[in-house]
Amino acid sequence: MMEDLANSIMAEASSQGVELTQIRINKEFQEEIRFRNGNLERVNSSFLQGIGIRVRVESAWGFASIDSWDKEDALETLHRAIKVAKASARIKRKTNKNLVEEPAHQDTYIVAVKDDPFKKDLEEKVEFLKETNLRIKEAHETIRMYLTNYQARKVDTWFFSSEGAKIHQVLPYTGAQHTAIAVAPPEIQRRSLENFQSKGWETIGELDLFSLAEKVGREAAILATEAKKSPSGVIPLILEPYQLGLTIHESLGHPTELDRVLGYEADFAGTSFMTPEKLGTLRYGNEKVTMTNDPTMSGVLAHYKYDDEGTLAKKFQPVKEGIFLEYQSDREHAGILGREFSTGNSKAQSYRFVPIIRMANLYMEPDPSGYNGVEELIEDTKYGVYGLNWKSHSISDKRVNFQFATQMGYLIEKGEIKHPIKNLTYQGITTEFWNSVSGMTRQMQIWGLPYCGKGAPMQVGYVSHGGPWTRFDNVRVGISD
Amino acid sequence: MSVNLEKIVAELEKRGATSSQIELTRISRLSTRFGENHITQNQWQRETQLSIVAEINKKVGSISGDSQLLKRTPEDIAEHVIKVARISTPDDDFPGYAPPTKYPPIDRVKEKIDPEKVSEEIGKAIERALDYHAKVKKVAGNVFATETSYRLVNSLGLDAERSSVMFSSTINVAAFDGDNESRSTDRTASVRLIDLDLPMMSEEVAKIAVAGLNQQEIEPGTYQALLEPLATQEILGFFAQGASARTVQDHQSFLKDRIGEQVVSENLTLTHVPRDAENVLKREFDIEGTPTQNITFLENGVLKSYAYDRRTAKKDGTESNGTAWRLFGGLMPMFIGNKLQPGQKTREDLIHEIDQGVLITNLFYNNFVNPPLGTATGLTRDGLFLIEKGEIIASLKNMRWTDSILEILKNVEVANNLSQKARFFFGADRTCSILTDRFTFSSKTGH
Repeated sequence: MMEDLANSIMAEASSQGVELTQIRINKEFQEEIRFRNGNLERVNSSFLQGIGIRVRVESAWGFASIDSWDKEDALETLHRAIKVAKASARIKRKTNKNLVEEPAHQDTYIVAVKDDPFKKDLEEKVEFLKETNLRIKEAHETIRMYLTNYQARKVDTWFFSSEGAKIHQVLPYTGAQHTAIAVAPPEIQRRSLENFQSKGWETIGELDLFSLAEKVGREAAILATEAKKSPSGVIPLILEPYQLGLTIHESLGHPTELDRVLGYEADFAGTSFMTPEKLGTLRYGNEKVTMTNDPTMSGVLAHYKYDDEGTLAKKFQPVKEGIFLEYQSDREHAGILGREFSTGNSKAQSYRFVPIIRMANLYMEPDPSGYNGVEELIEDTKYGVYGLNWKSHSISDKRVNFQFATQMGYLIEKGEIKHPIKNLTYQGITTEFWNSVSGMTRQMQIWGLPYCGKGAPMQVGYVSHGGPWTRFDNVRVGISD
Repeated sequence: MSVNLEKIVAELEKRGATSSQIELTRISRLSTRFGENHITQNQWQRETQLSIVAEINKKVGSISGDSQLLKRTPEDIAEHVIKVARISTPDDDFPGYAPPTKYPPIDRVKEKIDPEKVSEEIGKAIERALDYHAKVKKVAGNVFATETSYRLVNSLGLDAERSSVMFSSTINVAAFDGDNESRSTDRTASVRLIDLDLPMMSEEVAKIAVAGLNQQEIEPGTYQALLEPLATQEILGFFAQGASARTVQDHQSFLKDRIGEQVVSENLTLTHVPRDAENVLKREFDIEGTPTQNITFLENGVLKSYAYDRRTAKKDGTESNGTAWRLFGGLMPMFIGNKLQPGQKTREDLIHEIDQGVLITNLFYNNFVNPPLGTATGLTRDGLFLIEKGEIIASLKNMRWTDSILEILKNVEVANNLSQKARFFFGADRTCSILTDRFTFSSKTGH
């Protein structure tokens, strides 16, 4: 059925003189259950189904989408895409640039889940999540607000192109989050933990939501009642893999998106300091810093085999031993820069949106001869702070100056955790920060974040990040509480 | 496709629903983006969003989807929602649905979306910026045209329907002097494409981009600052977040328990204006069906009201004031579409009052550092200038700001240059330049 529909669109596109046609036929199920203070605030099933058609006419792009699989609707959508492409062509680039080549893949790729969340009894899921939500409150008397949010999603996509690609891909996503707010006047503190992965209900089991609930509640209470003020100054900072991942996301992920680098995101997200002449020469970090983008890694949230242009996903290193080596690209922007291939980072939120360059599973490589665990890393740190999990972030439009706040923090003195600290902030200049890495563990973790916003109109991207527990020297902390 | 929402409501009742509510939204959205002086993305989305919620003795179930959901029979949809509601646990905070009201259908579509016209206007805007000065090299931006038809019905007899269109645009211009780059930006919104006047906007942005070349550096510290309307909008956006009953009840607001207090300068009066004809977000009812009203929630610096939806209002023992939006993946009461009461002086008068300070055109990536305290951080972007003895004397490299929102707004004067500015993410406000005696830069960016 999908192929027949795609063939009808292709035939019509060809008769209209379209140079390239890419079709995504998409079906998506989503389930969300949300508890607030023990009350079931939302239980919702969501169904989406439609077609997104991208065409290239006179070397200009047009895209149109519709929430229907009817042939008549599909053809009307194609004509809208062509109309839009012709409108784009009125103000097209002066010099034509070809897309880089990509083999026309024909494949089916289905990520199997061990425990399908959509086949589980809804009542059991609701009861289970309610029990875990209540466990947050039970952790401490200061807990005033407690939230639990569970989401499962299954995305079924057929991709066809006039170059001959036929790809069917099925990707699952499941995860949950607990949040606690503790109030001990005048202190109000929030703690939140989560994980989302390209798996089924087994993610929920791996998360151990009861233990997670107790931890979230207990640590929110510690922040509100016991934690001391963060020190201020230029001192060593240790980050755990989640917060390290967010720092990577903002300071490496976004500035190496090639559309942004080339000025195509200037109206919204900004540009990048990692300009093309720095490729292969910029010392982004010191020799300890190697960053890998790998959507082929199974199980992580940003896992896929093909991107939304039909390009085979690739493992590559944007930064190796501190040197900036590669951008994330799609076929168009790789062509503009004169690269020979796309890195396979072209993704769309759903059939409704045009694909744009998105980071995928981007993480820092651990050091095989590094510290054996965070305890050993802390033992070897005379003085500093240890920051855990995101609270707030901000970064400049060229991705040079950033400031993060972490939810949880600890003061380290003489190789030991001295006491918890609250409102820990750290600020840095990207290359100075990554050149100050002084140690990391052999172990690493990858966390999934289904929140990355990019593009206009905004698209939500699923990314995963992480790495080892890592220490940075000479970091400015304690800017403001 | 015509949809019989009443039939779904009837099927829900037949199956035991105590009450129910249905929202049907149809959207046609053209999003045209440009960069490097040409159109880079052009997408035309058509979609339907359907949401059905039913309650049985405070046990709530729901289903949502696109037009494929509409292909299922009302019986089938009702069956699913009731099944979910029956297995739910009671929501003790369930506020019930809006009382019966029949709103006359409102059609506010002034202009149909036309991709060719949009491209034509973009072409003129690019040319105008490039023609302004030889140092202007790159023009980027976007035009979004969104036509929405919305209907809300509930089992209590509410029936509300409206159609509207909104055009918004951002233009970002880059000027170069050798390797030195300067960018400037502006955002606007209207109900007609032509009223955006993209060529004029583009030229104004280009002027600032050229003026911003060859930046000097200043040291971190506290400065007197003139915030231009876009920058003012960002700071007042924090205030609107703090005035949401949701953030207040979640202990995440710096305005908690401060109704009736003088919280900021007496020169500041902010009114939520959903009933004003000039507001591109004009609406007679919110997404819960509550009638909207113009609300002066900050009057001469005194906090007068929080934004309430039905749920937060019930918790505080009050009534919804018609400010419910679908935001951040859920329902959220928020004052969006606000008007800052203009002052008497011109922005030039205010610049003349500055002995040593800065002019900030725009603020970027602004986030709370600690919401209950109201501390926030962000960066200047697209134009930062040094003012000495009442004159703009130099362009400056961008700085990170970190400060308390209440402190920034403690001593301010408001200019008389009221203009409608699209918000960075959603909506639009009418805002002015303001002069504050305190704006703290915490670090340099180097660019």
